[in-house]
Amino acid sequence: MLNMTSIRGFTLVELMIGLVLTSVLLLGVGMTFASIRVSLNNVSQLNNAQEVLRATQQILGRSLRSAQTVAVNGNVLTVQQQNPQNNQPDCHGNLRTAGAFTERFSLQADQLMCQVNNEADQVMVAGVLAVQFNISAQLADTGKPAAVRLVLAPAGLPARYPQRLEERPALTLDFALKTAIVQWAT
Amino acid sequence: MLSHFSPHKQSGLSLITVLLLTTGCAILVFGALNASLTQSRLSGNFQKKLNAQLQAEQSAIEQFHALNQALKDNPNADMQALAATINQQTVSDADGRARLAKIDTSSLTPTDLRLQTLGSRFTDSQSTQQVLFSLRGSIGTPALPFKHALIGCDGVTMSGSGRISGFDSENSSAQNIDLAVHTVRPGGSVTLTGSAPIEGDVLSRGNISVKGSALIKGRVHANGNILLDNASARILGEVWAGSQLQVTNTVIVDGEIRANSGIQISNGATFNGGIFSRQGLTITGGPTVFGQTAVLGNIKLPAWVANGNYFRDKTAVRYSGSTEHNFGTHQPQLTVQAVPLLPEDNSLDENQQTRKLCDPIGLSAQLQQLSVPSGLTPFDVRRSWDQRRYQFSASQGQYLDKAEAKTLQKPVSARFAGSNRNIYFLQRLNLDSDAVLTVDGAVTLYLQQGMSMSGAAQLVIKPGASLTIISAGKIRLAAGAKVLTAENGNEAPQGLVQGQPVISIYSSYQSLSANDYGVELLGAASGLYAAIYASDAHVSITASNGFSGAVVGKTIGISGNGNIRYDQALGRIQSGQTGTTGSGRRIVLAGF
Repeated sequence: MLNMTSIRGFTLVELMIGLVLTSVLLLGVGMTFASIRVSLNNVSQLNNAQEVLRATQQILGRSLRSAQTVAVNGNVLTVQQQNPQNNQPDCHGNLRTAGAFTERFSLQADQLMCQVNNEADQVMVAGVLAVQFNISAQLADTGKPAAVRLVLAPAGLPARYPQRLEERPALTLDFALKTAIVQWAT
Repeated sequence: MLSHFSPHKQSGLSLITVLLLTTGCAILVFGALNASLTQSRLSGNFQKKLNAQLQAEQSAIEQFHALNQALKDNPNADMQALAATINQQTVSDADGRARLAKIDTSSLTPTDLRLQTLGSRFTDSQSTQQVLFSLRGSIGTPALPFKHALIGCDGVTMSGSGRISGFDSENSSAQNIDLAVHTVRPGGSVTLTGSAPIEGDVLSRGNISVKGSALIKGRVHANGNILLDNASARILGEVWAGSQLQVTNTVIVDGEIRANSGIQISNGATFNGGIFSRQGLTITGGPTVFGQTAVLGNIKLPAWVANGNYFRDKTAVRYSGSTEHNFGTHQPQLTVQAVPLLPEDNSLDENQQTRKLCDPIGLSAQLQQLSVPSGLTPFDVRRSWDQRRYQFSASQGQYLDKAEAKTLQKPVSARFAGSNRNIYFLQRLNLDSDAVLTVDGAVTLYLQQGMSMSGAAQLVIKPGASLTIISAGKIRLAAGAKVLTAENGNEAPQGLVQGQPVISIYSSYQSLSANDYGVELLGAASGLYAAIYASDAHVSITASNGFSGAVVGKTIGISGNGNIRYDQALGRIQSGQTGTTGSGRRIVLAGF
């Protein structure tokens, strides 16, 4: 015998409530997921920017520390290396054994390139959107460069970063020409 | 009963979907966290590396300053000596900073010093930096202020009868002492009126007059005229006159006589080495001549000389002009070598630019660099009968007989003549009556207005001690005063003590008139041994008891019967630098 009361469905109200609850839950989780993905994306981009900064700092810092003098022309930096011990590595990582040489840093298609003397350019850092070199300090009497300021727009810096270069968020790095300064001081 | 909707039959699609999404999120988030952590570590390590790098560079700069300071302290130091001053110990502080410099001894050269500097910040980061320092500039030629026995820049006058001889206090068997009496400036003349034998050369940029009965064992060489006017004078070397040579007495010359502007002989002198004149020969007396005679120009002589036996080899007489009494051989093409002129203000030493004879150390410039304290007071050693014995040691000066007296003097570190020393700065030093001043140790006195010793005052230099007096005023040791340079007074002087003369006197006093003596030693010393350097002051030595050492003076006057003994060991004393070559030395950072 079929007891009609034993088979009961959901009322429409119950179904509606269930549907709404499920929708809210899915929507919430979905939005969280989306925002997490955006955040992760930002983190990953920041990581890239950090890599770019570190690499740039390391390469230019090493080069400028031993620089005799530098010349700046827009986004091109030319560094004169004296190489007194004839065993100084250049920006390509090759040991230079034959006296002074020149390193030329420039930006080509989002890549910071380095050219040694007239050899072929090699990629130093990728993910660089814009650079600008300036002489930020000069030696008192000779007027020779004492420090180089680099404004660098690495890929991945958040758009709301305050400093800008060519409409892009950017950072500033200062490098002292230590050898030139100490040599001047003596 | 809920047969269709029993709990085990409901699948919970929404919950599963949410669970899946949450799991996905979690995986993404953990992955990103991991990446961020890695980045944080990379950045942290990078910062540590930078800090360590800065420490290594700091070490390089510290060594750079240390090297330059060492060079300033010792301008003559070579790279080896400079490298020895580098502290190769680790320098660390409480904040975890540590740095260390190591010398790369394998690549140490006279000009280059390579260092490896290591820096660390905390224990887990290290950086190494190669630095190359170069020594620029050249070592100046050290001045040898007492290279010659007597240097009178403007003249030397000797009227005493004591022997002028040489010895070497560091080598008693030394032979061939380079003993020379010099005048330096044009017109600076040597006048020998006493009977003092000179065991060396007499060299003058002006004239030389030999009027005493001196025996000169070396050469007599003047850029100007030479006058030989004593019956018993004898010269064993050559007589060279840059201008005229006049012989008016019966002197004997064993070497040749040579003159650029004519020779006049008016007495019966003896010339054992011949006569060479570039401008005529005039004889009015009857000389005895051995060897060659060569004369550019004319020979004038009386007939009795021409016909007599005065020229022992008449065939060796040649001339290019005319002659009298058919004397000698005419040779129109005759050449006679000229007398070389002594270089003015420079010795004949190998380095003429730097080894000046007169004021080689540049005393006035040295004194200008000396920072003299203001408000100096005079110091009278004798205060009373029971306060009269004072002693300077290397570190302080005090009364020996009244130790509680508050007249303590303390030296000040200052730089003089190329070395750092402790100097007592005083306005004047007076020793009179029975004052006794003892010097124990290496003592340097700066006396702004000089020093006087009179009465029976004594200056006692203990064995192993030395006294350097730098004076801008006059120094006068009157006759009764005694300078005892050996323990019991009358023994042979000590000579050099640790490379310093027992007594050295540097005087920058500028004599204004002829009798305005800057250094005056009036027979005070029993065997006084001193190196006297007073290139702007007249120096007068009355050597009744002998004097050993060397003298540089504007003029030097020597009288008395005591012997003058030049100590060749003084000639090796180096004093400071000459010129600018030495001061140009510096350490530069050739590169990182």
